[in-house]
Amino acid sequence: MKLRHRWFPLFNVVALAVLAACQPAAPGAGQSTYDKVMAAGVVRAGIRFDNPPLSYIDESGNWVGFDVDLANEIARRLGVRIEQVKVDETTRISFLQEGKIDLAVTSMNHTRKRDDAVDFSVTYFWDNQTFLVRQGEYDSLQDLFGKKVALNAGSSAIDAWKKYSAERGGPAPEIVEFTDKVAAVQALRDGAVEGYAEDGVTLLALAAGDPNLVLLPGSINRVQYGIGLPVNDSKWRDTINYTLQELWQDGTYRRIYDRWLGPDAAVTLPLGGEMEVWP
Amino acid sequence: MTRATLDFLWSVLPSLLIGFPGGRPGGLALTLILSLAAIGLGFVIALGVGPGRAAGPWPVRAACALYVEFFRGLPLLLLLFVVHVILGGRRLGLDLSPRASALIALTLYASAYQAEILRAGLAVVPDQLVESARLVGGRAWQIYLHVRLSYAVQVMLPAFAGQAITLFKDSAVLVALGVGELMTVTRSALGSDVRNAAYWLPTYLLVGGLYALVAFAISRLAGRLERRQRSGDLLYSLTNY
Amino acid sequence: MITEALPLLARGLAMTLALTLVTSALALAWGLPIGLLRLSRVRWQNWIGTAYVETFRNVPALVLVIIGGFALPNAFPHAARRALFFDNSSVAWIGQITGLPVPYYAIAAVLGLSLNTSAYLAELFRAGVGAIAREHFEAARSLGATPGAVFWGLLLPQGLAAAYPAIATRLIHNMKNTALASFLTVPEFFKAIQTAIGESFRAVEFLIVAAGGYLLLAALMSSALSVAEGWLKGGRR
Repeated sequence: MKLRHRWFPLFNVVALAVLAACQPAAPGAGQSTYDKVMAAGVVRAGIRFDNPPLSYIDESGNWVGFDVDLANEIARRLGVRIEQVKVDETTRISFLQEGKIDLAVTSMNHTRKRDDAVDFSVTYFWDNQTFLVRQGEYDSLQDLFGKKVALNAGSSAIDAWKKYSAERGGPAPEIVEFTDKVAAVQALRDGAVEGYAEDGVTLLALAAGDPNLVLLPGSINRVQYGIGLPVNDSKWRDTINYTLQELWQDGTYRRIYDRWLGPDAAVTLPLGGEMEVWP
Repeated sequence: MTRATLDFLWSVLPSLLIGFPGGRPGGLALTLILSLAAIGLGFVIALGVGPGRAAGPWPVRAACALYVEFFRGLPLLLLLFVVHVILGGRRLGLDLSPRASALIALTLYASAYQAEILRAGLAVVPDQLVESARLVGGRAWQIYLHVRLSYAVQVMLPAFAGQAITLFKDSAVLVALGVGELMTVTRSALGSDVRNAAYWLPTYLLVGGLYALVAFAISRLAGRLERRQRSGDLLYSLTNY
Repeated sequence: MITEALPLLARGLAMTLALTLVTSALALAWGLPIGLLRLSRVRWQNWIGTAYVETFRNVPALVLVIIGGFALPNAFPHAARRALFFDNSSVAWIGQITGLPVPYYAIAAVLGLSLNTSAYLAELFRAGVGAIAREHFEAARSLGATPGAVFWGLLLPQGLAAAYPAIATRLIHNMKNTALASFLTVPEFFKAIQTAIGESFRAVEFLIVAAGGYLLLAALMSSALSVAEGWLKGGRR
């Protein structure tokens, strides 16, 4: 009893600190990210390092890809330096919430669930999620119902696949959550899992070196990428939206798109939509 | 081992050692810099926390005990995220970069272990030593600093060295934040081309060898110290926990 | 938000406990004989013990875990990997017990962590045996004790007892290291926390829960180990 009494004030302090940390961060309070970025002259962009051809690391350690070029171009238009911060699906949203990054150009599918936690720019990329499988073993998405499949931790494909198979009467899927995409492809090649679902263009790029891996026809989910932004910061969101729309209108977007996904690129994907442009 | 594998290892070796051309210092060099800095900074904190837990007024003792048990009880991987997302988050207003968070997490982690080693060392300072220092007219603080503390540090040198090696190796989890140290460079160098799969084993074996080489060198160095201070290792075993 | 994640977190905590128990047991089972090899006066035995300790102690646990899980299968012919690592009766058996979809990753994590910890325990056990008074050996010899009796009656209990505090510290370190299994998709406590954050986008709250979980585990383990120390010392009388 005596011991408890002695420790009590200390636990009190700890408890208060925990409570303070649990208070929701006051979004929008204080200055906009826009003012902060402009004053510092630096924009911190969350980028992924294993997501070809959108954002990945080349042999000399440089971050390259469609998303990376887009982020660089946005920084250039804002007249600020870019600082690239490595994120993955499990960290990008919390880093945005906690102000570790100012924007996430991370091939992030705009979902309602995510929109509750962060905000999104206008849609800037369109694709479909499907499965990569070993050639000759599976022919359709239905064949994978109830099978052991690889998905990325934090990916929207997890909810999409659960919903897809439930709606078609499939059994509950068995999911292995990877954080390393290449490890997931290796697991598929080696027979550890029966399929690996991701955004189609990324699967094509990851599997480019192995002719025995093929995409299943069809789609479990249509994905629309938005740039992830801090919640309730309309000044910053407007700035990013206007910049994206300018890039779209003056042809810069198309140039970047064709560089990574056009007819001459290693992986091609016809442009899947049209960016919303406000007059 | 095929020719292609050797070529690959040879081509990534400079990046593993000192980082990618655009991100130097990185790789093993950055791992060493961060570890050394954390060990040094951690020792400064331990100089306060260790003696504080050994002999302070009860609130100080309790606070120091809480500090040690907290930072020693968390996996470094978790501590890294706690520091980066909570301490360096919006609520507390500290805007920490990944590298700053990495250094702080390593420092807190190292300091907790070092404080315990120091406390164990303080517990075995011979009374005669303190007595004789008092007899020759040392002031209380002088005795504390020059006799107790310096004896404790010296007798515990092997334990400190062991802790330094552990920290150096545990820093591999910094790859989770991607700060450009050895493990981050390793994973990046293997890239996203599935054709590189064959290089994973040789590359990680090489990297394991690099870690082992440095760790072995530190332990050899510590071995020399241990021969001078034979009792340290055992004292650590007997008094820790 | 936290209540929704409770089943997930409970399963993660159970997995962390299981990993801790299995890796601790294996590390003790391998570490003690290796420690004896290190004490051996036979040159090749001593050399094997030293090589084992220096290798597995000096390579980071994370590197060992990744080598076992993601790198090792690549060293085998493509056609053989499935049968060797992912689809055979042994992994199926472990999969049935644990409910893990890819049991091999958990096996790789267990092996990596056990090898690492066993190397530390071997060194501590050697130091513990080194602290046993010479007279005890002489007494045992003069009584005509067999080598087996010397091991079970003297080396093991007294060596363990002398090195016990440091062994306990290392075993708690090993418990914390089980978080590294999250790199191999093993759904232990840290991985469960990551999943919960990915589901709810409440990073701060779940990181605090994670910290509380690990501190609790460390405290429980510490008390369990001191109870075990009491038994060890009681048994020696």
